[in-house]
Amino acid sequence: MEEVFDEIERKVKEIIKRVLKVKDTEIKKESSIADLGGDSLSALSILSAIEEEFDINIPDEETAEIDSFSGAVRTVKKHIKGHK
Amino acid sequence: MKKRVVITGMGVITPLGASITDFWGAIVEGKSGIKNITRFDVENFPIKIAGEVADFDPENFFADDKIDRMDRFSQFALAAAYQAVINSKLEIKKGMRDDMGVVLGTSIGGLSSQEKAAEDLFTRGYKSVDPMSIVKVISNAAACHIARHFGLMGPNYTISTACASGANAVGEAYKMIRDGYAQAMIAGGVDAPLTPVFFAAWHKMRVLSRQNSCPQRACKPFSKNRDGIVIGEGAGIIILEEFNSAQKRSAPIYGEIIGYGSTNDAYHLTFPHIDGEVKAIERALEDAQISQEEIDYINAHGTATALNDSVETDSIKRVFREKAYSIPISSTKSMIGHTLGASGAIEAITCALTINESIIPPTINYEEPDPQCDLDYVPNTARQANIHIALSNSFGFGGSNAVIILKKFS
Repeated sequence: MEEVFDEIERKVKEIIKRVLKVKDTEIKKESSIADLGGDSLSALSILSAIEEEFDINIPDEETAEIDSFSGAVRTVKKHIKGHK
Repeated sequence: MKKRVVITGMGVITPLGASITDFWGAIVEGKSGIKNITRFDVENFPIKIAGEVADFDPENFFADDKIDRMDRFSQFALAAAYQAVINSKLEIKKGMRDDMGVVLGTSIGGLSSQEKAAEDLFTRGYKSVDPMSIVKVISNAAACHIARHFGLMGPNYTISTACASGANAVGEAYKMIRDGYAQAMIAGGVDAPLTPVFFAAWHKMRVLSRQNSCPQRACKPFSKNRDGIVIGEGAGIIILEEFNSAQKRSAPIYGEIIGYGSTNDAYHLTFPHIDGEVKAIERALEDAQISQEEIDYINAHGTATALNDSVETDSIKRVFREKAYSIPISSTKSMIGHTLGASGAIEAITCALTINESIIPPTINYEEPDPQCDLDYVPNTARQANIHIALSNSFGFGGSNAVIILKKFS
């Protein structure tokens, strides 16, 4: 069954797609950055793009969270104002 | 036959002083040169501290009608070279000009002039771009200004291996004299990286210390509570000479370079790797034809990132085994910050001074022991010790490693 992505997830997916140069269909909810062929520097680029896209500041202590699609989405949701 | 290579002159521009005397006096006292940045507006930057060279005026060091055509990094290099030449009492006569060259290391060259030109182009347009931008920006500008100023027609080139640049430059210049390609060389490293775009980019790599509230205590190499690099700026320049010609002119001799090892991790652009570091140290020991038992002091790369300091500690332990625990190790970066391409050269100078003055400079801001970094880092206070042979580590982004070994002159 095809996975359903909400709006934030779709935006994060777009960013990961762009940074890692992977196909839309390759990104699953359980994908890690490493699964998609990325390393620590790609994670930094994804982090930077996320901060810009959502206009949020992610503290250093949370950078390790950006090691997977779901980690990135969780971090974004935590920092977006009004999002529960 | 291999020739002996001695250091006959030294000069520095650092956040703790723009002379050997001031620099050495401050690091032996364990002072910090880290302060709030004043060179550009840091209001919108989360990190506001660095090792800045305050009140630098090149005309206090040398007279040269091309000062306006030099980026800050070239001015630093020439000011330090000037000190080194005076310190060496070397009169560069016509006969030796062909046999004396320059090898410098720089990570980013004239970046501040490049950023200025970009700002002018994008905000004011094509007509405002400084036509001198190219001659200011090119990475070999500093080495060429030194050659022009002193009339040195020997080999002249610039090495860029990020934070290992200065150590690679000293090592390559040493090889040129050792193998008979030059009689004397001006060698060292320089960087002036306090520019807004580059500084912003460092923020985004998330490797800088965030201790804005106490700049002097920000850089904590090997301490468990270390939280990253503090960027610094400066230059370290030495005069290297073939031993017989130095002796013939009764030159002051501050030490002998006896070993150099250089490798690449072939692994990752920013993550250090133990194998590459270990190989560089082993190659330097092999080049010096000494055993690891003979090393009395290590000037560490010691950047104060979590990863560098633990991997460097592991590398030292793998090479020196049980002996690692009894070698004093210190990080000069705890006091002046990470001067990038200058650091390896400033740290080679620190080793020469340590050997000559029989004092080991401390690693300041050492506050909490880290089980992953369990060696003797000479915490917080300088130590008297008779040092015969010192080793200096420099490891750069890109996986470049350069290690220099210096010996007391006898």
